[in-house]
Amino acid sequence: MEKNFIDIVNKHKGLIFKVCNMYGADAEDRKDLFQEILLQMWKSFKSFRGEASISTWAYRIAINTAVTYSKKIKRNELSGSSVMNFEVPDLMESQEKEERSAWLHQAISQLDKIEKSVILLYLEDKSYEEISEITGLTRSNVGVRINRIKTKLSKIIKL
Amino acid sequence: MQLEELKTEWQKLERKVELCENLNEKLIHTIISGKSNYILDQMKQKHRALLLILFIEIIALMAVLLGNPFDFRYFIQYLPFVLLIIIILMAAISLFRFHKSIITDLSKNNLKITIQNILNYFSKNKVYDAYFGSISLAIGLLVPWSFLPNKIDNKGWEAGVTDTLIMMVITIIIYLIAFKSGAFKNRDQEKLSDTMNEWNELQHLVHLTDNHTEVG
Repeated sequence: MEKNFIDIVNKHKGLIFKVCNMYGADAEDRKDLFQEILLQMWKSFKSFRGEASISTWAYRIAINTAVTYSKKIKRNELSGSSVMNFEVPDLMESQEKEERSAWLHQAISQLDKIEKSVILLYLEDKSYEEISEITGLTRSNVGVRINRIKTKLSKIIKL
Repeated sequence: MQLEELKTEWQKLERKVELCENLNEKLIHTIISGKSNYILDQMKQKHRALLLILFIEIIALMAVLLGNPFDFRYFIQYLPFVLLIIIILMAAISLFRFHKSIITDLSKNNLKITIQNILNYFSKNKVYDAYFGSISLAIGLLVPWSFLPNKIDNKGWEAGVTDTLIMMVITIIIYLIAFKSGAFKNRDQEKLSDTMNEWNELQHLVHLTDNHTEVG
């Protein structure tokens, strides 16, 4: 079972990294959130019966954890050196030729938690049905939300 | 920049992800064997500790009933202990049921239901925090009455009752001092206020979501 789980985590590491980048304010935050998402995935994996697609399952856990996770509680230090040395890659890190990604990060960081989850799924090319299934917003509300985020982002860009 | 342009930028991140090495087995194993910081997991851990304390209290009270270490002579002397056992047992059963009802599997519900469930759990959990404080106080107030008949036999009515009342007053004073000095806040104080902040934050999000749903 553990082998399957490791395969699934590696297959979906991109989405976990993106969620951590979207919700984590700094490297430590991203690492904490990453650990919590993995833990929650493992707990849930034991009872996963394939009711939803594995991708929806992974997004649900990652987003639910990111929004409800209390980052103010200090994580107990894990003794494993593998964890101590591990860092969640900063996908939106700014480099001279990548100013766009820094801009992207800045724009997204100004959205609230729910908006972040909607825009993340939208940018990940999820359908309105899938976004609705993961967030609990109605299908029509997803459309309204995306339009509002679009307006909000336009305002942020103009500032 | 339009949203579609943003999407194109976002898709470039995929290339960065592809460059990242796969997570090794050792790292994943260390993480999944660690302790969860998820707020409902924290709540369940606290419940387990409370249930253990309540269980120890029941054992101690049962030992008094069965072993009679204080040489009780009248049935009425056992009554506070019987009452306490009933109260603690009821609190423990209720807490256990609540504990079992908490679903911590984050894949089961969508984001909106997950937030609402957490708020409901926190609202219910307040009752158990109050139970625990009341039980502590009840023990301090009821137990001195069990010793009253022995004191009356040994010291007479006035001295016996005065002695019992003094013990009860001392209990209340100790309870108040402990309460004022923050002893009941102990290790959970910081966590509790953090959770409350998180709770308020989530509540705000739920209102926002609801308002938007209504508008939509």
